[in-house]
Amino acid sequence: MLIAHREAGLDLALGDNAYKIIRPQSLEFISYPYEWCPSQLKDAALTTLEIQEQALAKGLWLKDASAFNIQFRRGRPLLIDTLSFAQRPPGEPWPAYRQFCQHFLAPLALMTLVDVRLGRLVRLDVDGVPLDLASRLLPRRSWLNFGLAVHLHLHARAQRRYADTAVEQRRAGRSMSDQGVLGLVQSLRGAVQRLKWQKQATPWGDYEQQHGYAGPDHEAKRRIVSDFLVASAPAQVWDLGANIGSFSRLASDRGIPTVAFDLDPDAVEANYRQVRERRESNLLPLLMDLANPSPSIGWSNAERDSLLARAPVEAVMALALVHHLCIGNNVPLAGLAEFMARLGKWLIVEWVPKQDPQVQRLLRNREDVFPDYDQAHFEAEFGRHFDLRQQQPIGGSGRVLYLMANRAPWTG
Amino acid sequence: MLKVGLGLVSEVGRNLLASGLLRPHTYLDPGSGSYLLQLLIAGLLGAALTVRLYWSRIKAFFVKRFGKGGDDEAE
Repeated sequence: MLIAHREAGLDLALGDNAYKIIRPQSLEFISYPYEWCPSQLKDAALTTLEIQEQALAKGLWLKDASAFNIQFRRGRPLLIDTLSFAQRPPGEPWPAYRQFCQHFLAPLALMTLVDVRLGRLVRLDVDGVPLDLASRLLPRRSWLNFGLAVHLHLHARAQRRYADTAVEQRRAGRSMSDQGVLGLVQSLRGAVQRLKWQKQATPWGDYEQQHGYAGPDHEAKRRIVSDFLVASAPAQVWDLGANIGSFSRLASDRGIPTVAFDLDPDAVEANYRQVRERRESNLLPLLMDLANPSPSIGWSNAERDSLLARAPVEAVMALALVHHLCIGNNVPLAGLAEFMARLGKWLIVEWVPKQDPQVQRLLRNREDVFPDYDQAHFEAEFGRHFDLRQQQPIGGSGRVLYLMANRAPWTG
Repeated sequence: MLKVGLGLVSEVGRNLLASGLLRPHTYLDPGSGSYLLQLLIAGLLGAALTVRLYWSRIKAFFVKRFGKGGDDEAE
């Protein structure tokens, strides 16, 4: 649950008051709470509470409960801020209570009880969802849930009520017993555990069939992608538009650390549940809208990195994606090629021609303003940045898979 | 035990009412509210913890005494 570290020499200290220097294990990829599906946020919350409870048993506690302090490594949430531990002064309330509610309980309640898209709120407020906002957005029936009534609704009212209060005066000698703090943590855990996101229409298991992953072309595509992965032998992969991760697993099952990005929270949730069930250690599903990827945010625009700032990666897969960005989002082929060239060294990309039924669906209700959307322009634009190393048609579908190598020198 | 529990609940209830948590205010500095709310509810949550602990002991006692294939209840 806690990131591993080694002690390093005191010579690395910035000042002369250093007691010890620790060097944490480094992570392959940093993700942020606004990129997590509900179950990821929930697992991160439960991990934080479990650590808090174990710390309390030793007379310590977490002085922060930021969701940004949790990262996913080998499929499981991990606390990366080893310096969050502090000794618990007897009788004191938990200083990270507000942060826990803002970073975990409020967004999780909103995602599960109102709309999963409200998870995006944690991107707007870098210190979590303000509790008065969460309280206003939640349905009335959430007052009937004891945990939410106390930790969100009453908590929001307490914040307003005591906004201008000197705590010591108001406190009137009250203290918080060990039992009280433990009770608080267990109450938060109960509240988190009760929040379950149910997909409305169909059970999770049907997702794959429902999305038409079958047929001989699908098998052909899997074979070609596998061959390209063998040929490029990347150390990490980003799969863009990964859906539930069928193709991402061609990489991750080979032991390649893989991040599977998708725009659809249902797909990311289904993918993450599979990671948990299969105890997969090389796959990280994340929410990402590639037409509007995570920006750099926080103080000085430097606290949380944009997607591009977390690049480059050794290999990028973009399967059945080009038409969504070029036709669905009006991105010119030249712009897409340039974007891909900033992301990685190798590119496995699928060309989807205009006559493809999926492209025709995108064009069904709009004017075709894409005269340059053809294979020749695609090869020319991508050819400005990449060497087109291999290409393979996918059965008789008209779609073509390319393995491309970036011409820019590798800086990863 | 029960009496102590009820006493705590009513004390917390009085605290909450007296604190005026249900009245709206406009200014927001969230730190002190989070702090004071915990002091108000600590007794209740601590008591709930104790009750749960005792309840699981009582249940364990009876399951041990009378339960045969007691897996259902012991859950």
